[in-house]
Amino acid sequence: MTIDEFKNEVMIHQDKLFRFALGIVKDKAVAQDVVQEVFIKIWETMDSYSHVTNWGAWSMRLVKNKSIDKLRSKHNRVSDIDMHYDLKDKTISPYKVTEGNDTMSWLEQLMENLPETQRMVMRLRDIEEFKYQEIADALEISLDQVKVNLFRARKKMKQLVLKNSEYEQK
Amino acid sequence: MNKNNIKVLVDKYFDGETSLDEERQLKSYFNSDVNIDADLEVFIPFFKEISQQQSIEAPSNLEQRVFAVISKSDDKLDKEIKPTVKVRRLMPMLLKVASVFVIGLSIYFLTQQMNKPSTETMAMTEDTYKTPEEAYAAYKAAISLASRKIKKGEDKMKEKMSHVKILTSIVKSK
Repeated sequence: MTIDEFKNEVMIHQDKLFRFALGIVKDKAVAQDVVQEVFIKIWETMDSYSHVTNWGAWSMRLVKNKSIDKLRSKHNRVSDIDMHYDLKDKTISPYKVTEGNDTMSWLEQLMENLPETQRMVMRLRDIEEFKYQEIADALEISLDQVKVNLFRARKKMKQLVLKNSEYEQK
Repeated sequence: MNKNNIKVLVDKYFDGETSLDEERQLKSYFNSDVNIDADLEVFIPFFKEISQQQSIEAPSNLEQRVFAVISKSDDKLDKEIKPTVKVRRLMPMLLKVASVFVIGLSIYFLTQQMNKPSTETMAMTEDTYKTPEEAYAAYKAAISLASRKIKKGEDKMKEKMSHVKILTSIVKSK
């Protein structure tokens, strides 16, 4: 692969990869490191990726694994994020979000109520607009698991949105 | 798109049954300036936030940082820009091939040397005469020659002994 092909086929996904990493590590600098390390790894071991046809899904898989590694290396397990933000079963107003945490959007804070896999599936589908098969490839889960996780995530999100709306009206 | 269709689409979305195109329609609808039905207003922030998330971009220096590292640590980039690098990378390969050739040659000659029969072994194994008759004749000639030599030696010895006997008798008589 030439440098131009690398730019056009792999690095073209940098925004998606950065957003996805940011959704996991919650820190822009760390997310940037994750994406940078993934790009360098892909470039240096290009010969072993001859089977890859969809660089978007493949690099997303590497970003997911690297992001989780980063969290673990900081002794900050993925599930601990939930505790860190202390968001479980709390109502968050989209208009009051800046009072609590200005680094996370209202949507992100709502999504923190979801289990990690549901959150990742929803991000890849709703924000990155991945097809089901691409999500399955990126997260290394089956197509059925993708559909089940997406169904549960959206059901939960609907409940949270309606709950927040009621809270706002009171 | 009429409001009833949107309601159906919203329900479909939260049941996880929408296609990517239908999901794009929803995002577009909730981000537009149209009068959104009161029942659906509750979902405006949700779909707007999704669209806002989609606009987040990677830091502008990310690409620069990646290429800075790549150009320093990897010669793949150099290979593409400087073809002379190929020569440098060819040398270790040539040295490896030459080493293997020399080792192979050494093993071949060593094996040849070890398998080659010595002159003693050749003398032991090769026949001197073509027929048994010739061999017997030669053997006979050799034996008769040896016999003659021994006989000649024996005669000389007897002659010497007779001299010794004479001298002994002279000494005893005196």
